[in-house]
Amino acid sequence: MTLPLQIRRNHADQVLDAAIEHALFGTAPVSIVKSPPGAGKTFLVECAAAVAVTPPAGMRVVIVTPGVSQLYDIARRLLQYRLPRLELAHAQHRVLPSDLAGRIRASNGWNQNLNSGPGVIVTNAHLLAANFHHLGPNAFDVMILDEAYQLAAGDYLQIAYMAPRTLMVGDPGQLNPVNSADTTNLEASPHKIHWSAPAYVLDRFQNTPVHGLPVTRRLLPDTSDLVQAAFYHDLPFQSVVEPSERRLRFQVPGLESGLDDALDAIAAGTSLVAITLPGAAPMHEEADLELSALMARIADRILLRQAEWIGERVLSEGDIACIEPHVIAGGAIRDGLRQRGRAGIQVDTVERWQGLQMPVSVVRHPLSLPNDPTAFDLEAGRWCVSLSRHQIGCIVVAREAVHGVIDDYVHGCDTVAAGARDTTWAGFEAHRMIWNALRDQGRVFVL
Amino acid sequence: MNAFDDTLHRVLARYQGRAIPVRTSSQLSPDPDVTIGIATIKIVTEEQIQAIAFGELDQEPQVIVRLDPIGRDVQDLEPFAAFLADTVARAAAVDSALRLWVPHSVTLEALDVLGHRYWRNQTAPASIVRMGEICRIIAHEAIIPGQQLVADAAALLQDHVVTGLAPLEEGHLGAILAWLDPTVSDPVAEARERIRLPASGVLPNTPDCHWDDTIDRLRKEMKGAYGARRHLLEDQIADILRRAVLREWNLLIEGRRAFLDLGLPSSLGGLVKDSNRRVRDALDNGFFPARSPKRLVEQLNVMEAGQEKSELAALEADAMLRDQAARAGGVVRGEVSAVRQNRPGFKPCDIEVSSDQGIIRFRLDDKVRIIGTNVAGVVRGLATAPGGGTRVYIEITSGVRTRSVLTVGARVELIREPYAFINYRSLGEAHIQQPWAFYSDTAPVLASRPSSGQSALAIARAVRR
Repeated sequence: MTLPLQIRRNHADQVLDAAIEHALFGTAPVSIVKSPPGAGKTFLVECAAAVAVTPPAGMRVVIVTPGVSQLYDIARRLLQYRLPRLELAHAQHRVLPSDLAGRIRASNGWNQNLNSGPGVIVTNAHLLAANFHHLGPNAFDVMILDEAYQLAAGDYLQIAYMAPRTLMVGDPGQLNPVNSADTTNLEASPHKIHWSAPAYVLDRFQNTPVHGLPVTRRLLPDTSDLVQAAFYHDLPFQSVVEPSERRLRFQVPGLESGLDDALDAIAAGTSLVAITLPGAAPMHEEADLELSALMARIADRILLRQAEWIGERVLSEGDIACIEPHVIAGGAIRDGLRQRGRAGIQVDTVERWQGLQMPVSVVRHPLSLPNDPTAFDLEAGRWCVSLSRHQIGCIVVAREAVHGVIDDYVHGCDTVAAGARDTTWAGFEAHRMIWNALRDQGRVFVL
Repeated sequence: MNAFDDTLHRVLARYQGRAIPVRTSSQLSPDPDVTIGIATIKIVTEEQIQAIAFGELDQEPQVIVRLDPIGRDVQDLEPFAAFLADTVARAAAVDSALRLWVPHSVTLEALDVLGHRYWRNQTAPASIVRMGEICRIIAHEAIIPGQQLVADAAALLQDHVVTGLAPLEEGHLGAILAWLDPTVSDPVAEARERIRLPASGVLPNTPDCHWDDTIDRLRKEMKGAYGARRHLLEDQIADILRRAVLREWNLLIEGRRAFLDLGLPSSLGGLVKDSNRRVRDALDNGFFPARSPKRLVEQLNVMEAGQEKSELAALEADAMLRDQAARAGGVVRGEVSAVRQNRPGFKPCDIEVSSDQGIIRFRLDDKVRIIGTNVAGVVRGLATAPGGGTRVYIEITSGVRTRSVLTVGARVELIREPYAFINYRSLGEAHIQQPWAFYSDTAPVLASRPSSGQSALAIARAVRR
């Protein structure tokens, strides 16, 4: 590892240390850790839990995750530590994943024997709220909110009093809590309870201690620089990935211009490229089938050419992510992969990919559309998640018309309540910055 | 419906010369015993109502025209206030739900502004304050998805039929009605003719009709006029306002009739009950807008629950919507391919459903329901079939005696159960506990705790297995 990278890593470790020290032993009741993609926020949660339960601290810790899959993931990670107590509480109707069964004390719903003495319990906000009568104020010594930017303030309200100290850890650039109802009216309220828990706290208490993790250990420098500039204006970070450790080699040379050129660019060290298909998405289809087929072809092509993560392994189906904003188009990609005998390649929506990483991702550009883009298409968080899952290479797939969609976009000035943040415009700016950078740097390959 | 389907329906409507229904069920329950209508005309620039027509829908409406709508005198609103109070009392007396028909959303906005203006106005008579409060209750209920108090004729027709017009043109209720009137032979021409005169709750001011300009001029003249001349001007103003608001009223009546003539069934028991309870509670106890964190969370949760429940009710009742949802994986259609139930009629009972759908939105441990039955369960497994379909493994948690669908070969449609749960008790407890982040303006300062002084990384490394 080069010296500058080591210095950055050391600095990141110091930030992590300081954040945990402040949250567990300092005088502030809430500490927030903002983390870019791949900065090691789950590792920070593990460390914080380990420190909190280890003597002399000896705390009762609750780790709250927004979704059940994150809950199981944290539990798996914590099983690697010798903790005085590790418990898991999930909803009555859930079944513990087989790899956790027998390895962790799990409870369907709450039971009175949980949370006794120093230790950790992993659960979610709804379950705690539903069992408030068993818990009460300060039932825990510290509450750690994992993926805190996905937890709505309204859910945090119901559990906030259960611990005197709260450590919120999350990625501010990714998807916000989902609100299916129209929240326009709430934007004018002094309590933005539809915002995420950290955003709500920072809105009301600007002096809340915030620690920004300054590095990404997932993204290579070229992707990291673009993603930081486009999505994280108030969170500077740099890549600490050693490019020589993230090299891809194709054992079979490329034949097709455009498609193989893009893959070869990744092998040459460019971690973010785009491939365009001529024309625009068809108006008369629910999904752009040609584009979906291309995504399947690219994923297949990576394996056909026997991509190898140098020094690690030859890539297999489990190493490739297909990221598609829409469920219907995802089905078309899955069909295409199945026809190519690649059913093991995972295709999912952005929401499902949040928090995960893969060596290579194939991503549909959300503005590759037949119509004018909607707020859903332009949302910055969705695009940020799509562009930050890969450890080695990301191939964005779009129609050529995406140039025009971005150049010709006209933003409605009445899309948000007066004084509210216009996240749709912020999303468009991110889209424009990313696409122009790809184009200007010669990273767009035309089929 | 996606944009392409929508366009196809518009082409078909144009070809057939009539509106095409896009729903097979209604998102509005039948009108209750106490059903009224309100139409308004407001000043374009002032958000002040200058004419109101109101009453029961099978009778001639009462009309109020306001000669000086921006004046402080509110006596002219007394008949409207009395009508609203009487309507509320009638509904309470016979324990009926309420229904208010309006021609379009502009009327609701006008009522909302009227409510804001008077519901806490300490100089206004009590009757006007109560009118303001009722208007606020109406406007507030109208924003909750699935509510059953307010029927917006234009919005209802837009949601249930597609015409041969461009979507923008459908903003004119009269234009939509041209496509629903069998006596209109050329709905395109008729709709465009009607569009020449706006139907948006304001006085028209078009090359064909200068009512707004005329009223402006008459009001200016009236300021310096006395005696008979003044009466004449007042009559002219009143006449224009009356004609304008009756035109809106008539659109409302025609819009309602056209919607009811679609003859769509509805099955919205839960939504009706929820909406009635909210409205009755506010009418009995007063309107208190959400300001505290707890109330705001409740309000958001009510809206989210309303959204989920109304979507579910629509899917359960409407085959067309289910078709669309199935294409997007929201509804899973298939055949029961295996049933494992040791004792018929008793738990445990597990079934497998084989579907041709490659796209489904279910996840492990999702709670699901079989549409049209009392059978519910939890998804315990999902497998992709080699040919492209999906097999769903379900543990049945209720309805285990329903043999008609818990039988191999039965065709079923599965849907995810909505969460739609508002934890009032937990929110109440949070309100009692008053967590500082929500209820205080300053953050507390904690006593620092003794730390070992060791780096977190070192401690974590030490306890790592």
